This record gives sequence, C-alpha cells and structure tokens, in this order.
Amino acid sequence: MIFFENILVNIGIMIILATSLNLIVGITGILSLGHYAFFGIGAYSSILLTFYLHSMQIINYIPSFVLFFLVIIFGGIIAGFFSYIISYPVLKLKGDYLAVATLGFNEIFKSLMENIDFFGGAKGYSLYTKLGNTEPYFKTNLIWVYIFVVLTIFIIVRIMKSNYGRVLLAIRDDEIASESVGINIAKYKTLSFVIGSVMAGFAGVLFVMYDRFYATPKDFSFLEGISVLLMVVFGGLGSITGSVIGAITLTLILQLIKIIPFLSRHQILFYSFLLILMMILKPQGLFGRLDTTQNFINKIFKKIDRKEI
Amino acid sequence: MITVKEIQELKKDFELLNIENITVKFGGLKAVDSFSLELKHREIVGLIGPNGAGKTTVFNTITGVYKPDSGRIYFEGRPINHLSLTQRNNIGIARTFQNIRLFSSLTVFDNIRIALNNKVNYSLFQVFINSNDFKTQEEKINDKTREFLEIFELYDYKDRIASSLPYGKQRRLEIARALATEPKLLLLDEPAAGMNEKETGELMELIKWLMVNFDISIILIEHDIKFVMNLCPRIIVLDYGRIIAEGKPEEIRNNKKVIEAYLGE
Repeated sequence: MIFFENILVNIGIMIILATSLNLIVGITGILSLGHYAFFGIGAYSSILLTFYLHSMQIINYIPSFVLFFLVIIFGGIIAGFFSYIISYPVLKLKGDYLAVATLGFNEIFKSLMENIDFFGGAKGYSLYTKLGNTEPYFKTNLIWVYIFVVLTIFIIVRIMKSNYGRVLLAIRDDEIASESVGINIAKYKTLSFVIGSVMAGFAGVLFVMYDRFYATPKDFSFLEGISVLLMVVFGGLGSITGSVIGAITLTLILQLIKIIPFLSRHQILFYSFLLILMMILKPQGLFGRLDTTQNFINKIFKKIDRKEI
Repeated sequence: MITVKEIQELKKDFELLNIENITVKFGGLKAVDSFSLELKHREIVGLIGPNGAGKTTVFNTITGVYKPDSGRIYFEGRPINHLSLTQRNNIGIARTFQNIRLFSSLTVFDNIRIALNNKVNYSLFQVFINSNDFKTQEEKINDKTREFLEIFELYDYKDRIASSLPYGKQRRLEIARALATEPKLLLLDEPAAGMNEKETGELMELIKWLMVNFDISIILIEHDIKFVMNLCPRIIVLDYGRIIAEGKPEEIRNNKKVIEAYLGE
C-alpha cells in the first residue's frame, strides 16, 4: 500500500508541476527551464517555516491541517515572490536567451543552496534531524496532494476560459501583433510566469513534506527538472489534458526504469531518447491542441449555470 | 486674444495626426528622411512609392516599432514619441501588417475577442468564482465580436483556425481585428496585396464603407495604383525616404518626378 501511495503522491506532484509549466511554456510561450528552482524554493521555505513553527510551539494552539495549509500557501508565495523578481530582467529576453537565463537561475539557486550553511549546504537541510529525529506534526498525504492537483487544474482552466487566457495564447502566437492590438505583454507574461511558479512552489512543499522532511540542492537541479519539461512536450504544448496524461505516464515509466539497473544509471540517456522519439513520431505531442479537461470543466460550469436559472 | 493653449485646442480639433520632420536611420542609411504629414479627422491618405522607399518604416514609426532619430509625432495634439506600441494602440492607433500577422493558431472568433481585451476589467478572482460580472462582460464581448464578424462577413468562418482561411479573408480578418480596438487612426499596409480583382473590389467597397460608418482616418500603403487613386483624394509619394510629391491623384499621375521614380530616367 505504501508503495502505491508513494507512486500516487509522486504522480500528483508531477501533475502540478507539468500543468503549471505548461501554463508558462505551452500556453504563454515562455520557454522557461528554471521551473525546478521554484519547486525547490517552495520546498526549502516550507521546511524552514515548519522548523520555526515547531520551535515557537505554535502547533499546540492551532490544528495541524490549518498550519499545513498555511505552510503550503507560504511556500507558494515565496516561490511567487522570487519569480516576480527574476521575471523583470528575464522576461525581457526572447527565445533561446530566455531559456538560457532561466536555466542559469536554476543553477544559481542550486549553488546558493549548496554554499550557504543556513540552508544545510550540499548535504541538504534535514527537518527530521533538526526536530530531534521526529516527524513534524503535519505532513503531506494523498488528500493534500490531490486537493492541490484539482486546484491547479481548476485555476488554469478558468484562466483559459477568460480574457486572460486568450491574451496569453495571443502572446504565444505573435508578440508584435499582440502589442498592436493593445495588449500589455510584460504584464501578462509576468502574470503567467508568477502563477506557474506559485504552483511549482505548492508542489515543492507537498514534495518535501511527504516522508522526506529534508531537501538537498541536488533534488532541484536542472537535470531533475528536465523530466517535467519532457512531460509537457510529451502531452502536447498547450494541452492541459496532455500534461496530466504526460505526468502520469512518464512518472510510471520513470518508476519502472528505476528497477532496471542499466536504465536507472543512464536516465538522461533515456530522456533524450524519448524526446527525440517524440519529436519524430508526434511533434505536436500526444494531445496536440486538443483539450478535454477544459471542455469537461467548462461543461460542469454550464450545468451549474443552468441550475441557477 | 487667443492664448497658445486655445490655439493648440483648435489645432487638436482640426488635426488627428501631425508628423513633424521625422528621420529614421538604420546605420548610415536614412530609411525615412524628414517626413512630415498632417492628417485631418476622417481623412484618407495614400502612401505610395517604389520598393524600399520607406513606406513601411513610416508606419512602424507611427505605431512605435521604431523610435525616430529626430522629429516629433503628435496625435490629437499630444506628443507620442515616448509611447510604446501598446500605449499607442490604447490611445487610438491601429494597424495591419504587410505580411499578415494574425493569431494564426486561434479561431477567427478568438482573434477578434483578443482585440477587445481592453474592454474587460474583471479580476482573476472573479474569473475563478465565475461571478456574474465576469459572465455579463464575457457576454458583451461575445456579442460585440459577433457584430464585428457580421459586418466583415466573416461570421460563417468564426470557428475556423485563422491560418486556414483563404488569403483574402485573412486580410479582412486583420482589418476587422484592427478596427475592433476602436482606433481613430487606421494604418493599412498593402491591404490588397495578393488579392484577386474581385476581392480588391470588395475591399475597396469595405474601406469606403468604413470611412462613412466608423469615425476614423486612414493611411494606406498600396502598390496597386488604381486602387489608391480610386480611394484616396490625397496621395503622398515617397522615394529613398523623402517625399517627392504630394497632391490629388491627377497631379500625381502627371508628376514628372513620380514617373521618374517608378520608371527610371
């Protein structure tokens, strides 16, 4: 059972990461390679906050689920804060330059974590040992993960249903044409980038607070993060259903190859092989622009509307 | 006594666009050389000239893609040199492009809806909770889009992907999209390029109709001389970035400099 729960939690976290990255890369057209840095920022900020909450004895007065909710939100906000700061210089760049800059940001984050003792250095920050070899009062479980999976998908689908979503697609299609119809590109790009990063922050908290309670810089390196990009491309850029399916299949496949010694040693080889195969066989991704998730949620809304009348 | 301010006000009523001696340089090349233009409300001006004369550069300078090296641009009496593309659209300058720039992966309907993006003012939170304000505003946008598509006879194509439309329809859609932003000045960059004779005729009717029904001024770049002469009571001829002639179609037709520029000496 534990094994299955483990996989389901992993899948949930990957769904959050993939759909939020899809918002940035697939829908807005910002090729960001630094998504895992925000994942990491969420993780680090949550274990630090949890440690302080423990040392302040607040846990005795507030129910643990409220506290955990606050911790998740806090992780998201910190990730969003940093993404807002770096969006200012980075989003001025285009295409490859932007990709390189975000990749650089990810590496900066990683090496900062490795070299600052406050964050535990290269060996990482272990909440478990800091609390005297006990688990914290709250931790991630399946319900928490899937609440946030639903929340993430819901938010993105709603955005796509509104003017905000249309504008993001317009920016992806043609920036100059977007400007010529009066779209404030910088504003909307920042919006999408920050929302996506906040979601990555949530995922980071859920990831680190599930049976791990420690974060190491290595967990949030660019190489780890490439798998999320792979899920997005695999499912189809811009398709939310695609990202969800991509996250599920690739997480399962990655679990599978961990069993095979040769493949687990050469994961990066496997990634590249899969990417190349995908590009040759179905460059638009599994789902292309088709989006059943959006249609499904919009149908639900229509039904609710009808009942009101 | 009339004060300076009042003169400016009068001028503002009279002129929509006022370009004073703009020069645009690319390296050592003067793409546009001291170009001036005064455009009245509801006026249509044709801009013609051989290839590479700097016509599109003039458009790009008016819309803010390029900043002029010298000279000033006034819109409704206000200097707009420092404004960005987006801001210039917001105060009422819209354009189409020489090589059509639609939101090519989106539907015809969405192309127009996107142009109406500044007409909505709901927050993201209102979107999430599906508030009534959000719904009514979306309804309004949809109605307006439908209206526009019907005017431009594109309603039957509303669910088609923009890039799958025939060329003439794409041009039409681009003009519709520009007009959806409710501009006071519309810049059309070779609207008839690549159209057959029938489509060109329809386009001409459309532009005439626009002049009457929308309160706009138009500047038009076009290589189809017949098209320009038919539509524009005033024509400006550019060559090597300079204005070589300006006047009524008949004057232009018989202007020696113009004939030289087009045919060589």
